[in-house]
Amino acid sequence: MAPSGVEQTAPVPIPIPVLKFPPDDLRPYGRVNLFTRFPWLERFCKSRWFQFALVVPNLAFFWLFLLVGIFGTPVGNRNMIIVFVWILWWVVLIAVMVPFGSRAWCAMCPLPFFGDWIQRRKLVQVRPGKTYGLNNTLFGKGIRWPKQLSNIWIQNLAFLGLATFSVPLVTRPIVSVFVLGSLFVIAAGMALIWRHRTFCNYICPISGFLSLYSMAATVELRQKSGDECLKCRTKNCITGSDKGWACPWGVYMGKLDRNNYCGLCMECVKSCPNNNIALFARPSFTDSRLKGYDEVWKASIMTALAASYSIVLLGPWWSIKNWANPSESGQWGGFAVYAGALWFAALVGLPLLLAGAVWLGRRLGGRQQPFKAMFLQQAYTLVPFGLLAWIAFSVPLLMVNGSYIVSVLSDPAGWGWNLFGTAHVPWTPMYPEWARVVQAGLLLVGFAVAGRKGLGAARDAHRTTGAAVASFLPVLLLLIFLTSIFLRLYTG
Amino acid sequence: MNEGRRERIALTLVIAALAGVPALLFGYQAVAQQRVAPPGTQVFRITGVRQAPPHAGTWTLGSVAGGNYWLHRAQPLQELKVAQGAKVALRIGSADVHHGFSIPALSPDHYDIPPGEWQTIPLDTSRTGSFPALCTTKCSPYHDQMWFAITVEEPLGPPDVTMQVNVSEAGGFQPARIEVQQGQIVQLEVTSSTDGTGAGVGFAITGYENKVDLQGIHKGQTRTFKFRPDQPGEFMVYSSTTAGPAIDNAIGTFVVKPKP
Repeated sequence: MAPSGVEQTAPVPIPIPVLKFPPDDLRPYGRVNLFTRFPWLERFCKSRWFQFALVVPNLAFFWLFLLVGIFGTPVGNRNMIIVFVWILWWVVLIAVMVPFGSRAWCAMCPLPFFGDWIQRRKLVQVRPGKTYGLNNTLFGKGIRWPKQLSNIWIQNLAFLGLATFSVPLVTRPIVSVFVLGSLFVIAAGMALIWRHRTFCNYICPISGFLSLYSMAATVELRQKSGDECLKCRTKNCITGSDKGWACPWGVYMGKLDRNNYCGLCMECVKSCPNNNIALFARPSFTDSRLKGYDEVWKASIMTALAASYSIVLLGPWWSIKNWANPSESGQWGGFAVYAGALWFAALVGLPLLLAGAVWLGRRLGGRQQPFKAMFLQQAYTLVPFGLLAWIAFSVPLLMVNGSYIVSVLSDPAGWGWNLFGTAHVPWTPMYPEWARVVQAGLLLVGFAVAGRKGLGAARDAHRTTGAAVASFLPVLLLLIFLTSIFLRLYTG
Repeated sequence: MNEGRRERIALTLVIAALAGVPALLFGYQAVAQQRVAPPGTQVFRITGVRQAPPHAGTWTLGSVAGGNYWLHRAQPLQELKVAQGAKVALRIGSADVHHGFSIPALSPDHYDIPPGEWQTIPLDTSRTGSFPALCTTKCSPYHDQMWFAITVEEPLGPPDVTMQVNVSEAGGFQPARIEVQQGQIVQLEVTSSTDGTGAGVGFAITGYENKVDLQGIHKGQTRTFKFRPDQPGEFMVYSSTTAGPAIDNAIGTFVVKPKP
């Protein structure tokens, strides 16, 4: 018997443009094997020098950032650690690397460099042997991370905690030094105690949002053939071999179907005895399933933070800006209000709105799906929406403050150098009049993709289009509400 | 390439990165600092710091960097002493807010000091005396405290005689009469008991204006200055800094007795 309510709510055609998009989750997506297309890329990924060549230059840069953060000028916009990390790196990360390179940053991130070195005692080569059932020799205590903590809740709270202090973090060199330096120390310390990349998997606040937004990426590292993995008896991707380390992220490639927890270190490419793993190009937002509440809350936190950042870093509301910057303004009472509002919005308000919309949609759609499944499906809409909101926040950041990169390049520590003759380039916003247009465009793209994905998920879960549309309607209204808030924040 | 060799190369690259970055950074800074002024010039690197109390609104010779700015340990610069005729340049920067810089007694120029930027200012050391250097931009609530004295002295040896002078609104210059011998090296220790109208008080001697002109001595400060009086006679002592009627009208006498 059909669930009650289907007939009551189904046939209400609503003339909104998103209905024209087909739900692409039902279809197999086209993908292109980049290793076949670019053989040099395969050679590079299979080289033992691959990760070393990516990490060590970044290690040198981050070391430079830490030094200039400590010994350079305290003036944020004249210090490389602020300008390069929070303007250049951030924008490249969120607007380029994640959407187009998945977790490429994780492959080149220097933070776990010393931890890896501690565990492997090798910089480039593999150390074959037997350690806790793997085909590699590894050092350190090698304790397993507790099962109850094997999720991204710590990363969620760590990122929200850091972001609460975003104004001093992105304007004061010493605060950035403290945070980045601490991450180096924590990563190395954890590698002594816990096995593999426990820090990256469960602690690193950057890794948390990279995992979420890597679902949008136009590349994926996957098995070429699932059958080959089924037949494989050695599972060297996760157990390692004399050619590659056991996956430091604990991923078995035979079951990998999302980008979230693959750090693109390419060890599995090297260790797979069947040459069955490759890097593929694919359509964006191909991964479209959230698997747990921790991921839902990550999406909520990121969306709330995108709004908060636009207020305290780009907005004209000076009283709120002062609240968010208590070390400068001394307004700790205001800071408590700001922090409380931010945490409430991220952890309670937005998830509650989403849950309410899903609850209502489930009733309208005839309760054809368990609440949790529908909640997880529809929460995914916050991924494209949040990512595009972040890009909409970040790209104008580069347009407005990009000239600082040019001047800091010549004088990284603010010591009065002029290496390339650009130290005195004045602050020159690039096409600031276009910033609002760019932001509005990106937000609308985010809304459209979110709508398309949400509707696609609803159609997957409902027997009739009418029921799907009805079930999706409250979430759509929530997306329209969020989009209008962001448009108001970004474009005034 | 064998495995051991690969690891050695990798280790070398890591060490090169970890050691090379600070070596390049601080090495280049050592070279760059010498290039900011012509060879043989003594460069004083002075940073303007708004900061919170107790050292609010100061110029400092100490290094002010990301690592120590928030510790509020910048030692205030009160007086910079240089020798007459020396090649000297001031490298003036700001650690936080927009400052300005000027030495009104020596030059009409004033310099814009944006946060994090540096200006190299050649110092005129032809004229001896002690002159205030000021922030010329209303930089913060602590702006009025942003000054220090630049004292240009003849390169003389130890003093033959030390004269202590107190300047106050009640008593003017005390002692009102100072007597020294022609050719002696005289050390003046001028202490002010008042800020006057805010800029402190001055101490100058008619006929010796190009030798003795101590400006902007603030309440509680003592300015020490050496010179050699070479012209005998009786001269008037007055405040070269406008400090209000009580000080502006006060007069002292400076007597240089001829060599026996």
